[in-house]
Amino acid sequence: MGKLNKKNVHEISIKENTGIDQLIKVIVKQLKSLDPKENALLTRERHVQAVKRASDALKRASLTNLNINPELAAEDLRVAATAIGSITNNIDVEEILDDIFSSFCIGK
Amino acid sequence: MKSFDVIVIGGGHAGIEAAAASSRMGSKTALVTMNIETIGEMSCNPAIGGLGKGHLVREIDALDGLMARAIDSSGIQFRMLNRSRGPAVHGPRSQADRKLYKKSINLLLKQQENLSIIEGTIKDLKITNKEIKGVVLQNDEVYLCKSVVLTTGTFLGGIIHIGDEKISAGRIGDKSSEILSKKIRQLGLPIGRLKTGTPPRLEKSSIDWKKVEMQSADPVPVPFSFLNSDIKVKQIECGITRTNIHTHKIISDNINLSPVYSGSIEGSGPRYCPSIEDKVNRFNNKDSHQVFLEPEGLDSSLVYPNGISTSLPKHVQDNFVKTIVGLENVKISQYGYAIEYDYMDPRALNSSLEVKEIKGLFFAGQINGTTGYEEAAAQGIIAGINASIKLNNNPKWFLLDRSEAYIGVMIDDLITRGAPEPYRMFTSRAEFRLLLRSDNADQRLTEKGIKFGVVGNKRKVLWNIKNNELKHANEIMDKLTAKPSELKKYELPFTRTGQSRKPKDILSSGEYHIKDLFSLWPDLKKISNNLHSQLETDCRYNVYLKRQQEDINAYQKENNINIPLNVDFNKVKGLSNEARDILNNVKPNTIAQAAKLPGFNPTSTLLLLRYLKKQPKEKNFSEN
Repeated sequence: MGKLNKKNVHEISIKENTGIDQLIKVIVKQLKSLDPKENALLTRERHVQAVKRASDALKRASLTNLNINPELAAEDLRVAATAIGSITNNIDVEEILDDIFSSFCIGK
Repeated sequence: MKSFDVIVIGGGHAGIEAAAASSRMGSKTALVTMNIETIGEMSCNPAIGGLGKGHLVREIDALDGLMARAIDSSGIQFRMLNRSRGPAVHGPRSQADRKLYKKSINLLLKQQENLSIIEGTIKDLKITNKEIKGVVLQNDEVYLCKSVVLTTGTFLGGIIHIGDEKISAGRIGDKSSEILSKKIRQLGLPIGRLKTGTPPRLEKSSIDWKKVEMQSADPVPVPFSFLNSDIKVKQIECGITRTNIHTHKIISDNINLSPVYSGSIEGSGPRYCPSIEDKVNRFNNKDSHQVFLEPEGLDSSLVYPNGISTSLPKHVQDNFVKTIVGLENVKISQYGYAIEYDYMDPRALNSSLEVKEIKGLFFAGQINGTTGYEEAAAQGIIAGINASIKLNNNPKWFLLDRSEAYIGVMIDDLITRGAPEPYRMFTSRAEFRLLLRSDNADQRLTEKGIKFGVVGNKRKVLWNIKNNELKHANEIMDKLTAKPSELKKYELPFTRTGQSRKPKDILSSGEYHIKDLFSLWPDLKKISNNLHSQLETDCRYNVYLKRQQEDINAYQKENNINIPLNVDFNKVKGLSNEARDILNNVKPNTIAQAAKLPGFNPTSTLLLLRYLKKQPKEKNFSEN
């Protein structure tokens, strides 16, 4: 680690709840400065369609009543993941199962 | 010399469905088992169904298989799992009375025409020119046949482990089939090792039931079979207790005595059904695990403790079990064990479950690397149907794809991805799970089953009645409509934009029942009561199904693009070496299969597609 730049040291206390708002502001500012100057361009029609599908599905999922229709929200999340997967790479079901069973064990 | 159309080897859940299906198809069928007494035995957990598995049972039933009917007349604790999560993921499950289950299965088999059940041990398969011709029994007797379905479960090279004790067996008390195992290996098929385990069985009278929580069955048990409307078997409670830090300490202190940890078991076991020593080791942040105390039958003196499968030495089992609340003075009547067995890499199979290299030889069940009675039975029925279809000169296989059935998802997974660990069905494996529900298995499959001849007369008649009623009900519903003012009057949801709504629109939110709409639309009273819940569920998913239909069309399009057998993947331009290796190893049959392969990305799929389209139109390989 190099020398700490005084400017980038922020004193906070979670106990006293001081300095946290300021820290968040600094982090946000820092992140914004990393933002690419232009929006990333989707160059292929296929990609545009896929992103739109994903975005529509995510909107629907966020509007679903989880108490009545949790399986419909799950379906929309799957649609979104598949749409994004058609550009990047599919999320394999084995990865999902791995994740589930690394923290949990089904009873029946 | 005896001769049959189809011979099924093995009398477990796969063998039963295979033999019954092939007989229903009209083929002269023999089921050969080493021990007639063990037909329909539940070797492990006395229960049928569960998440994902319940779907399989309903699909087997929709094709007129036996499993659902057998559990309906032997189930002693019916519970619908995931009830709070929407009908698409409901998982019917019931504990079984072992004796009654076996009895029902045997009764159904006895009533089956065209079927002979023969006790005998098969020591060899007769194969000439890569085509099955018959089987050879222990006493050198030969049975001729056109198809063989091999459903030998854990009996090929089965070795039971309890601590450092090793017993050669397919199930405790039943010898394994060593000779057949050797013969199968000689066929040059890809054979691997897997393991699974089972918990100790407890004496019911030695459990202090007052100390454990009790769980009862659903107040109104829902039958598995579409042929049944209610359950007549008495329903009982099961107990729930937990392991604790003392249990875990004994297990950790002795973990090196477990054959998995001492290294004497090489096969891999399932992630989702770990032994208690695996749980203690893997989830070391948890100091307690749930244990269900499930009675093995109405008048059985035994209890199955679901959750503590183990292969620790007997004295360690005695010690750790006694630390559990309610089990302080428990007597173990049968110690838990791990079993290691041969399985065949299912990538050697076509989706008909016929071995690619040997015509007329089908594999089904645990031998294909799956776990669970339901998974086995589901493969059994498909293999049985196709073993019978094989008798035709130009077989048109009975195949189910991923958009038709969980059975289709399972078989596609098995033949394209193999079974690096014992394969269990989960709803998350299905892409189209709002469509593939346990409640509509008959709507999805029975018609197709009838067309192929696997559905018996009784079900055919009942299905046709139900199907007509459903059509009629949909016609009634589609005719009705109401203006916002009318909807408002009956306190039903209306749109402010002034659009009229139909019953299906109101039902789609899942908040209303058909009965709630009677006062607005009296015509709905004409719909028979027993269809209400089905129609409500159909409406609830209707909008989503329309959207999903696009995905299904896309999938089916990909699934119909066959990859010719002789294609040279090294010639596909632009593929990464990794993608090329994947293709060369798996040799997918269709674009859909390739697209789903782990590590095979969308760009590779497009490159492969483009390459195939450029190829001169020659006769594409197709097993369809």
